[in-house]
Amino acid sequence: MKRLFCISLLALSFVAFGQAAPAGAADVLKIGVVSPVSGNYGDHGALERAGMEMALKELGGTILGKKVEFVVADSETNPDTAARRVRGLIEKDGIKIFMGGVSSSVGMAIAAVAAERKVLYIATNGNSDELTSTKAVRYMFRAAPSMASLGRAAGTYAIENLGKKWYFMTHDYSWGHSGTRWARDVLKKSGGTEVGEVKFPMGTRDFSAQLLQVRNSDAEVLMITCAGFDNVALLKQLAEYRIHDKMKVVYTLQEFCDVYPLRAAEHRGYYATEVSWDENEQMKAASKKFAEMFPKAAAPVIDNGNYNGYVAMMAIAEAIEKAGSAENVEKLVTALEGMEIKKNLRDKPTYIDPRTHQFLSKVVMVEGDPKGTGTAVWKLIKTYDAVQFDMTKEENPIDLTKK
Amino acid sequence: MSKIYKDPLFWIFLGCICYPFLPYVGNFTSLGTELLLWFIFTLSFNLCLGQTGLPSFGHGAFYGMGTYAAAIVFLRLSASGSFVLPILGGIAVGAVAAAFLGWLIREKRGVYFAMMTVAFTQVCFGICFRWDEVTGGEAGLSGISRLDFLGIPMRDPVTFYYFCFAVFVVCAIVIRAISRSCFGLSLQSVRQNYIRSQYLGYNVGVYKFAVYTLSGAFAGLSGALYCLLTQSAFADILDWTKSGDVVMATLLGGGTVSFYGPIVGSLIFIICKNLLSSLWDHWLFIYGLSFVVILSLFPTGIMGMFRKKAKKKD
Amino acid sequence: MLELSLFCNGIVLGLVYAAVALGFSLVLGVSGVINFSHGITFTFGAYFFWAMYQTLGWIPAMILSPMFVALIGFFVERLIIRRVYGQDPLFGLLITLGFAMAMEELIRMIFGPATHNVNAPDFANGVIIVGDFLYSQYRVFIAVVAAVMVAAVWVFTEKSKYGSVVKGGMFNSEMVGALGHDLYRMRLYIMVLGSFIAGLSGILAAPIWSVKSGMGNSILMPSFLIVLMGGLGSIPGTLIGGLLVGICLSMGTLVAPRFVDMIPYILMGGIVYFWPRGLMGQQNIIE
Repeated sequence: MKRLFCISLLALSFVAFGQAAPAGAADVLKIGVVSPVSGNYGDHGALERAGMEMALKELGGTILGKKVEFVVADSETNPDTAARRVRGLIEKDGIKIFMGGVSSSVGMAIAAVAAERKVLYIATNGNSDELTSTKAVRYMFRAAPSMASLGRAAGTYAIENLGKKWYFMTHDYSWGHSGTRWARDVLKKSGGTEVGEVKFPMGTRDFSAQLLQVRNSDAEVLMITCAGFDNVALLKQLAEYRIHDKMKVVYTLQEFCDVYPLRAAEHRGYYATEVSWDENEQMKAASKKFAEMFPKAAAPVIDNGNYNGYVAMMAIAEAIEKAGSAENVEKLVTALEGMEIKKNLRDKPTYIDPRTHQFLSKVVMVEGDPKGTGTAVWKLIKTYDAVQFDMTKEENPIDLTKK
Repeated sequence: MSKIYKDPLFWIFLGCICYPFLPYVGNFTSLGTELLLWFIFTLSFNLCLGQTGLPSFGHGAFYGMGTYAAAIVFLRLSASGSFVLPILGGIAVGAVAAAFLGWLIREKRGVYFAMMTVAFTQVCFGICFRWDEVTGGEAGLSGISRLDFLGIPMRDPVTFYYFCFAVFVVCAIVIRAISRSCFGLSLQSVRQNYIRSQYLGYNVGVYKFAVYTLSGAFAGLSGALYCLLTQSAFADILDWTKSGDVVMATLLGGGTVSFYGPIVGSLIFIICKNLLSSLWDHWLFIYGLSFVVILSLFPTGIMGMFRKKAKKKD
Repeated sequence: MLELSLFCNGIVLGLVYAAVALGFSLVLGVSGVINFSHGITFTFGAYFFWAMYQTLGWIPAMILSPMFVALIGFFVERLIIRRVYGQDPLFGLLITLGFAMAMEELIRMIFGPATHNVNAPDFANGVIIVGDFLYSQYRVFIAVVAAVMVAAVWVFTEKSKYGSVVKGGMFNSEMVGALGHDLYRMRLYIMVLGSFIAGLSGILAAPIWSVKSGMGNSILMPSFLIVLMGGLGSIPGTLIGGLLVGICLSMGTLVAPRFVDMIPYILMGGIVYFWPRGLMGQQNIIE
């Protein structure tokens, strides 16, 4: 038994290391993709990886004649695991370019590793303000708009069109706090009144008590910042408790894949989001193509997750072409600063702010369509430039161009 | 002199010394460092589980608090920047938290003990996840760096590996000395027959309290070193699933029958987790099933399997 | 008025929590196994239901899918849980936890990782409006089903002959075995019953939460805490524990909305600190 055990362990390790051994081929460019594969956020991870793959296919699978290969590391939506896997990939395969990360905390953990080991990292789907303000590092860029852009876009739309008495519902962690913070900023500046706020912990599945309180108030607008599986439950319960009949529901950030599975009558409210598939013809065509390529994806259109993955991949490709090679990380960082990404499916290129390393494009407002079927869960109602609402220099004094 | 060759710890230490020089495998310096910290952590945890029979599902709390304490001490208190101070902070906080909890639940046993520790961990997790001002909330704390220690630059991963190795050597020897001392033997009697050891005049509650505090201090130490390794601190390690991992690793290795069980267990646990996840998307399926298979075939873990063989030969 | 409506909401929530914890409590009481696969049977119930309800209709699917879940429970008992009888309860906990992990991933392999939607049945899709107060009909429906479930199990253990054997098994299983009752068969039946209850609770939760592979994790710990609070093997205790948690969660949003998720833990800690066997616990199998 003992011998059998030892032999099998030895065999296992041979298989594993043989599998993991570097290919050694010089014409292969490896890019590390850190995103949740298993676990509860596996579908979000799959979505952003699908976006990256779509971009890579459009690039013909190569950058500067080198074949690009994604090395996927499972982040398990846990910052420590993600950081460990990234360090492993740096040490094992010598990978210098990373992207991915569905939650902000994972992004911050990888940013710390990127700063320590001096590798390039593009955070795709973390929206927390910290990523480009207090926790910003020279080696990290962020593809998703900041919560400042989204929260203030939602706030501006709501104050202009929906009402001046607001109630806030906030997911109780840093990301949720910043969504409410920026919407409140708009409310204060325009002289509206805040009726109340209810913060609910992450992992809340039952919102009956909170919604009874909200219903009991005389607010005109309910401003919600909530994400993940909790959000799907909340969307269902908003309809269950007939909140829409009493007040307008506004989200500071909504994902298509959260609204899509619900039944038609539950698609109600006004949502700020990063991208809407019906924005323009290019986006519609890309959505169609995406649905054909990835029929099993959580959203059969261009959604926030896959869009950011797509743009991040395009940014890396353009930066490598600009820098001339993928070897020198410093050069890549300099190339990305101030770059304009043209292949972003929009009429205006995405600009990368050299001061904060934030990708700046657009933020859209959509309205849920309670009669829409299929992918028509919402309609585009307004488009804002992200730069209009992003953190100003006073709000975010960080300057990454200075060393 | 020949005696030292028979000591398994000697071989473990030798293996750890050689690790960075091994071909290919040795490249994973940070994984190796993490393994060393897991060794310290699980060894100290086994003082509770294997030695005293305390099923603590809240050890992740002390580990996590050690991490946070080190980060906070580094960022807020040690303005001059010190390498040792955060580590001491981690030990102190781990010990104090464990002492607090250990005193409260010193009379509890079995499932009730386990669930009290889970409750404690979850409350700590909830607080750390929400207290943005102190713990950074979900965003965590970062910006910690490894400074020079006695003139040796710790920034280099390999140097830090050897520092952790030195700590591990000290901890392993100390923990083994504790478990073989009078105190350790009394703890064993608590596990083997709780009521009889009470009749023998031992104040069982105090023994449990003492070992819990001690174990918490070691957990805090490994947490603090982990903070220096990752140069950040996040709330997720306080979640009860992390504590569950520790229990699993210890039981898998056979912590209940052997002192070295936790080391074997964490080695296999960490390596399997890292290997499996790179092989298949749905690796959790294999991972979960292998627990079921191993634990139902060998209830005493891997060391127990060897032990049984050895006994049969005698 | 708000306080009153929150209190009523708490009772509804509490009944549901009690029903979820009931299966856990029965298995723990009779077999002494901390069954962490309870959460995954809950999830299986919801998934089977999602797969069936559009073709079969609400009520037939609601009856049929817990039966499939009960079948899973049967195999789990035969293959896994049977091996850990009489061992340290934590050992059973770890084995079932590993099994639950594997099954969660299996669900993702079979049904895909995305979220699925389940609609409330047409007969309970509206709202009840009394003056200023509004409540969803579906919540009332699940409260009634949960109450019936708890009551049925209670009547079974209190009034039926086999129920008294089960009750005896919770108190002293060895003695029941010695009296000539087939202890292993009883444990099997109870496991099947427990899985059935968990599956049914999963179905009831599906229209409120929607269906996702990780949904069972959020009821696992609360149901364990409720069982400890109420006392192992005590059905009235489980009911009281569930109601206590439900009411505190609902009313807690008025006092400390940010910390409601910690309320079950703190309640359990406080109760077990002062009542070591829970509120209505007696000497039981795991001591």
